[in-house]
Amino acid sequence: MEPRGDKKIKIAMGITAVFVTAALFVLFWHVLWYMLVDDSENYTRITLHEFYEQENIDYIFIGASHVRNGINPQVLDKELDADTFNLASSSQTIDISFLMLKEAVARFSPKHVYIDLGYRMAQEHFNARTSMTPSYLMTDYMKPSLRKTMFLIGKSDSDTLVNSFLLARRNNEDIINIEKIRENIQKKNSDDYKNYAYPEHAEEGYAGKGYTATPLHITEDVYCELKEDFVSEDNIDPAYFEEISKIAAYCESKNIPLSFISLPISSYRLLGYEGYDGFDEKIREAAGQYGVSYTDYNLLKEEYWADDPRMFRDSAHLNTDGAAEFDRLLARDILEGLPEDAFYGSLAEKNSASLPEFRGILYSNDGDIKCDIIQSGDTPLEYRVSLADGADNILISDWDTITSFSVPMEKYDLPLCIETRAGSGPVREYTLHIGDDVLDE
Amino acid sequence: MSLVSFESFALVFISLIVYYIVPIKHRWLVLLAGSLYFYARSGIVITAVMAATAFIAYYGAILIEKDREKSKKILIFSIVLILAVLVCTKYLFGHLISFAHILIPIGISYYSLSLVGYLADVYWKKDSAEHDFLRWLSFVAFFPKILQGPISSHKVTGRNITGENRFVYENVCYGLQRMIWGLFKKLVIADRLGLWVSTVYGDLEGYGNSGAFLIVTMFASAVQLYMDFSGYTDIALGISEMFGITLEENFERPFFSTSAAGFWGRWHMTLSGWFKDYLFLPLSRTSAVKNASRKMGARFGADARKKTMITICSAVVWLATGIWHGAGVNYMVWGLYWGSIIIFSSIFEKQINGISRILHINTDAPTWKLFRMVRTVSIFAFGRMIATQPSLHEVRHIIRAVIKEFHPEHLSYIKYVYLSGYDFVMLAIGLITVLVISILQERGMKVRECIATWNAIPRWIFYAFSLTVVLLVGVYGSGYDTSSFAYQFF
Repeated sequence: MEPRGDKKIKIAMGITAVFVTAALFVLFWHVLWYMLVDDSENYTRITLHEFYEQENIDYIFIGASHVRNGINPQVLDKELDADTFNLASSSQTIDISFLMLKEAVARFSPKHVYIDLGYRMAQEHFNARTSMTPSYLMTDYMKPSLRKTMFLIGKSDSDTLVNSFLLARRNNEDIINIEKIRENIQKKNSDDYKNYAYPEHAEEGYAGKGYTATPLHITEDVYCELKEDFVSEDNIDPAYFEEISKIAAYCESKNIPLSFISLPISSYRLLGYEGYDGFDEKIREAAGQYGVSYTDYNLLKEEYWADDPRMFRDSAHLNTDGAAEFDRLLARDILEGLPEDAFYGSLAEKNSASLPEFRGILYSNDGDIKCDIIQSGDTPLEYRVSLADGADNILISDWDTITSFSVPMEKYDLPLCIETRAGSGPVREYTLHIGDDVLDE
Repeated sequence: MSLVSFESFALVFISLIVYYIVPIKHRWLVLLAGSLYFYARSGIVITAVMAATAFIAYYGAILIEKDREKSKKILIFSIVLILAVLVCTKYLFGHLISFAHILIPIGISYYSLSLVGYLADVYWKKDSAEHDFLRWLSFVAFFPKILQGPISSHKVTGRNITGENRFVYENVCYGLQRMIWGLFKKLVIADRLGLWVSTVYGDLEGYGNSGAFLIVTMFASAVQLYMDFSGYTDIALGISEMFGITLEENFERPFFSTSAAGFWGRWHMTLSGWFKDYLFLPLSRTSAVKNASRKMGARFGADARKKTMITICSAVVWLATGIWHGAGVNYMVWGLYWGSIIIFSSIFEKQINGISRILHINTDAPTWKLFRMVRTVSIFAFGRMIATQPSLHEVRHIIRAVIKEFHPEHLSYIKYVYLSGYDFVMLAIGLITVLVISILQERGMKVRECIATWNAIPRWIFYAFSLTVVLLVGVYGSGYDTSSFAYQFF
């Protein structure tokens, strides 16, 4: 029989071993994170640092990248004379929005919370169901909490569980890249990194309180983008509505005023996918079911919000000018409320009231490249479409009221010349380029 | 449910805590509950089949002990029933029914042999019948071993599993070490090589014109199997050790063997041990084999008598071993391939030694030993290639390529096996680590005991570091199937 004293020492040693080994394990992974993970350009790192440093937040805006580019708290702070914060992130899904809402409510007493439920959010939810990357953008920089842990356990499948908690695993291949490790350590040791300085780029720059500013705007007045899968009213994930109901119930239980909104995106994108009105109606119904208002700023009349391509960096994201103009309008809506007749009843109604204008093309890989013509207004325009092949022009359509046309796959990189006219009106010319992304389709 | 999954590690962790909390007399019930949960996660129907098969052996053993006069009939009847379940589920259903995967009990080949061995032991009075069905079931279904062995003998481990196991700190440490070692072999080495092997064997049209590269792939496949299977065994034995249970060893550094027979004394030892104890030896005692041996002995001398017995018994054993691995013709060919080599080297042992003497080969020289080890591994690698191909057509294709299309420059095909430079560095580090440890073990060093002598802090650092390495550089996660083991489908 083992003496009792020895047994106690062994038990104490066993318990110490477990804790010390666990602590060393955590330490090793922290060192690996320091060596392998380059997050010096991650704006969410700075956003969440700023977020935790705030003394007060009155208005919180949550959503995906179009909210991140569209809500400038500096403008809103001034207009509303309050503290606002933008907790949006790229490809943010509705469940992450809910997590961020809870994180904010746990620390502050917001006067009002605005969550974007527009087409982009549903689209992100649709696209990102199998990826944890959008979650990591936020969770990597959240302070440790049971809330965060439970979220990660709940959302990660067995394939991603380790990546969710042991961050360096995501960059494990760099363990033999000495140059990269040296570079990462240098970056992490820099004053900019330690002081959470805003990384600056010509195209895009972090501008504080979660807002990412971009001075870019599209070079032509029309868009030319790859057609994506679209979330229609028929294929919205039921889990999306479940999250909406949870958010509404949560805010009600915490007595926090909540509004669902949809930030403007270009009408090119909205018209390009059929079924926007059906989708919007479903979201409106869901919000109404929980007694929460839903404002779709895409339906604003021209006198309030002009669908000007110069306000956008691409078809879904506002640029700096666009964000400033929209935020002033939003502040007005928050403070005074916009009149009811400021909005159309539907996108179809808005489109009928619009002048016929060519908005761009949406292309997709259909063996050859299928190009859908997107135009506003009910009256069809006439199009002359050709490919500029050196001195020769390959004619695809000669003044016809077409809605789509095909480009041979081997010619996809040639400039696409589109001329438009309405009846005997003036001819307008555009030169567009189909992106290499069509090859990945 | 696989042994390498978060769910099973969680099961081990929870079971371990509960196991040492509950009174010592009832600890085996925790294992039974854990094992049934583990098995039932793969299907209720197959769990019922497993329990029913276990019941046949349980009841058969009791009857054998009770009625010694009829014991032989009961033994045969019970074995026939168990083998009938095995043949029906694995061989017939697997080929005839499209939804057979839900009917083939996982690990059936392993536990069926275990059950047959138990019945034979009770019949030969080497073991006594277990009268408590739940205790018996906890032995049969013990989750670390049920999927892929070791093929445990009830008389060796049965009472250890259901016995009263006290908490021993060293057991938990040793078990954990072994488990991490198994994960290292499986995730860092085997699954990387698996990507290579499956890429090449999955596209014989593309790689079929390169005999040189196919030879390298054969060796990669052999090492992959060893790392995969011995890695699984290390995980299984490590988990068992944490519960204070010692399962039979299954591997003893087989690539250091200098002969084919020696290889099978170190590779899948519980399978070769089973076939020796329950097929080879009983067969050698049958009158038919004795008569044939006696006749040959009378005609060609005493040596011929022994060799006849070995030839007949080995041929049957190896054919059975092939069939045990699978119903395909290539498995039978694989069994005959090994059987022929072992029979040949056994019959002509004297002549082979004589040639060595004539050629003045110093058989004690390390180079000769190394040559023999390489030869043995080559035999194994070729056999592995036969067993892994879907049919003999592919085997012929590979052999033809090796003979007629041997282009050393095609070794550059290694660039196309979906492994990055990083993967090759990890493979090299992993293989060197295993080689060094194996050499130390071969020289008699007990690595785990050696680590146990370290001071606490370096030891704890080592544990944390080892686990970190496996989790960092192991192949798992999106796009990889780490739950699958090469030997689990046999």
